[in-house]
Amino acid sequence: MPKIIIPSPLRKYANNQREVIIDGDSLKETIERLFHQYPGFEIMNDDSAFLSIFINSRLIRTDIEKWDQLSLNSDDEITLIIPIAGG
Amino acid sequence: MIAFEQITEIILPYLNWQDIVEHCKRKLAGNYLHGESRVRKAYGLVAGTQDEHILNVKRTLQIKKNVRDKEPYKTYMDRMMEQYAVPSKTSLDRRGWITDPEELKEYYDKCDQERLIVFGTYHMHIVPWEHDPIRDTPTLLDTILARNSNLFSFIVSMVDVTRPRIRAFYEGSGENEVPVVIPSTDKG
Repeated sequence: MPKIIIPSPLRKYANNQREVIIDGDSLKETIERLFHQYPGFEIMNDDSAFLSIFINSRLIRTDIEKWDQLSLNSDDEITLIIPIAGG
Repeated sequence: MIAFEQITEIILPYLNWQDIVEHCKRKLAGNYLHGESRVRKAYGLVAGTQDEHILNVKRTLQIKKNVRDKEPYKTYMDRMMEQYAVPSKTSLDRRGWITDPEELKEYYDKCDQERLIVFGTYHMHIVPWEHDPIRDTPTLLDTILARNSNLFSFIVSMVDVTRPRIRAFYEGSGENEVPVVIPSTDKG
């Protein structure tokens, strides 16, 4: 099952875990299940947050609407990053 | 682990304080590193360890790339600027910064390898405002942009470069300041 790596600032939303295993065939399904299992991640739907996704350290530039077309392998490693911004 | 909301003190060793200030001075002088965005803004990450209610800074990491002018960030930041930025002599399209996610990931990975947690970001304020001449507190925009980040915003006042000041605010909120303590033994 794909492994999701959580950077330290976001770990509070995943019970302080560095990584979680989430089953899902596509990127969309996996992220939806992550949000369902750990509702704190819903903050990523806020427009103050740009969710950047890496699969096996490669930044995904595919539009979010097409994430259902991105299939995942069981050994894929997904990293979530919210870019930091300031005024 | 105690939540960052309950942190009571941040220990910032003098050497790390110097790193931050020197970064700011370098950018103000217009000296850029290879591959660094050529903007007079200094921002970076603050990482370290947690000991109950205290955070200990162990290292700072200078962010090189600013993607503020790249889509989709530009549209978002332009909108944020229009809604929340206090007018200043710097035009809105030249204000604001967003870290490059690839650079950020590299730094998160590095900190993980060193068993450090990233608990803050820093950036400098350089222009005095009439109602805020020192600029060592977050702006409304800083607060909005740090919302839900679970990070401390370290504001570096460089209005007077001979008297830099650093203060820390949880999620960039002026109401959630945590004292930054520089151990006196560090200063020599």
